[in-house]
Amino acid sequence: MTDDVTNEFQEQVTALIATTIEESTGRAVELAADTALIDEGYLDSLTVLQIFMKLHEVFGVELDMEDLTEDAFGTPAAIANLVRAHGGQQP
Amino acid sequence: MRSTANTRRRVSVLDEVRTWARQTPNAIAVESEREAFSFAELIDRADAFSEWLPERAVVATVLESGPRLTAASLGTFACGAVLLPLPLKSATSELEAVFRYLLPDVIVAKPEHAGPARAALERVAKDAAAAVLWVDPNDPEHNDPEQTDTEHSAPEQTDTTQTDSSSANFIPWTGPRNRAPAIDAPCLPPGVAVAQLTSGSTGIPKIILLHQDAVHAALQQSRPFTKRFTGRAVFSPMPQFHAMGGAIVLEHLTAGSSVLVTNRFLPGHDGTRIQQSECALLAASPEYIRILLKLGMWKKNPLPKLTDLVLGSAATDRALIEHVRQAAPNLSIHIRYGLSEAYGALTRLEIPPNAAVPPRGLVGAPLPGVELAGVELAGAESAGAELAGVGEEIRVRTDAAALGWVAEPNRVARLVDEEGFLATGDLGFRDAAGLHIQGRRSQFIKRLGHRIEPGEIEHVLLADPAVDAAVVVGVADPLAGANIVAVVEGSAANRDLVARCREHLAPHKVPQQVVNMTIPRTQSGKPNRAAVQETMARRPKTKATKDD
Repeated sequence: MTDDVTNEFQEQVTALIATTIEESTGRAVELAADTALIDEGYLDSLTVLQIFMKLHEVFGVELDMEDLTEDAFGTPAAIANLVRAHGGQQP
Repeated sequence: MRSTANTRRRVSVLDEVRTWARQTPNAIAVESEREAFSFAELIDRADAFSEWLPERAVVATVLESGPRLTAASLGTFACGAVLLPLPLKSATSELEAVFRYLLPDVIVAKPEHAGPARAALERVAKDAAAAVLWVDPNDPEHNDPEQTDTEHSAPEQTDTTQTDSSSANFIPWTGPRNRAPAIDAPCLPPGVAVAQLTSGSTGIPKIILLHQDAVHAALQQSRPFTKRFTGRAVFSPMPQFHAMGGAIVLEHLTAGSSVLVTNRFLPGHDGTRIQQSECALLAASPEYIRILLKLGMWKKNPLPKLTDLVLGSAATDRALIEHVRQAAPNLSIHIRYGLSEAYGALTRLEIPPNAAVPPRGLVGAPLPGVELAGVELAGAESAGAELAGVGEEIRVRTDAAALGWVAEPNRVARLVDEEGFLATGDLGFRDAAGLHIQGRRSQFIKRLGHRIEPGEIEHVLLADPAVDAAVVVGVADPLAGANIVAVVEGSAANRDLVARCREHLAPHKVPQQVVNMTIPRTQSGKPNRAAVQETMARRPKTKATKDD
């Protein structure tokens, strides 16, 4: 987690991801900041798209497809950093 | 008349790849996000696997898409064994359903992925002899079984003559091969190269049997297309255990291309790989491309070396093609039509960058060696045929057709009729432009005496840019026979979708309900129509429409 990403911000991003996974797959999940979302099979293509859109709605960020790498999208902490790096604001 | 596939000299798929290994030994043959094998390395590994493998053994692979699965496939083909590609994430119960019809002799899997297959074997046949092995990439002999099921894989006889220092960890045995539980004799016809799983109408996977000649015929039929990419790289995100994903790898590998595959949805990473390897072709499902477009594919990275996009296996979707055109105007788009019941592609349609977008459902001309029946050449009257409604069931005759399917543990049922034609289950018609697909025969919804094709309604729904996916099913109704229920994913308001259907469809085709929810998928990522049907049949009507 970078210095810019507060615990509260991190928790909001993590909650958004968990909710989206649950809505998309019907699978209730408990995520930690360092949960390996890709390797542990949480993210299929449709869920990734939905997280992308919700991050835009909630935090106002315009992510690029190029951001969808393991480093930038592999854990909730990485996604929170990504959102912050793109100027995402807490709702 | 059928061609002479059965009489011509048979060339192993491995030998076809070997010719490229001689010309370009160090070129990448297959690359996943984790590892890559050169042509020389791929051949070495396939040869080693083939040497160890007993003829006619059933080789179940539980592997990620990539070089290792490719080497195992080529080695299996080369020695006359049978490849049974299984999805990596199969549940024990799913594998149990398969193993009740066909027991593997060998399971190739990483130790951490072998559990469900071993558990399924345990449930099906306590005495099943199956070696579970893992091909270690760091081992120069690349054939160490990480673990062998000592309880269930004990060889019935050990042929020590096959054991040498390089394969000492293997257990060669000469017990029953190629069998079903409790049947001590081969249950598959000779010459079967692939036992391909496909979703059956009953929800139980169907095992389709493809003869080695069918594989060769299909690779030859596609060669005029695939040789355009010789020496260049192609990218396929399709799962390699899947019929189309597996065929695409072999089609391009045997044409001398480098084939890049992926196992995870990380399009940013994929885009970098496509760019760095200068991939000329991307072969994917329409659903995959639709999602990439929503994520902004081609916006920041125009991928100038990518010249061709193959969409398969689906009929022309005009809205998608127009969307691709806007994002990447210089791409040639190819529609590829095929079936699990025949290896590879049956038709192809090329849409060059500046050509008009073809009509909905067109899949192009049959490949050389593919004959059509059940669809008359409509010529200039094709528009009338399309307007007249749903066409006839398409039947194909091709050397790439499957031998049959495993209907019972010791019975293989033919899939072709006495004249050699395979009923595709697809409805359509043919005109000068090629074959047009209008829907599936078995998916009709019968409502108030009308036969309604779900695909037609789905097409209207998918034309709304706010709809990501749509499946239309019929739910039994005591008065009308069935109600039409449209299940959609996306941000479109249900009332807007009903209005769209009212605008574009006859009144009897407008859905009674629109439900916005996540559509269940098959393991290959396709919408699972049977699961949608079941969910909707159980769903209380009061909850049916999100916007109600």
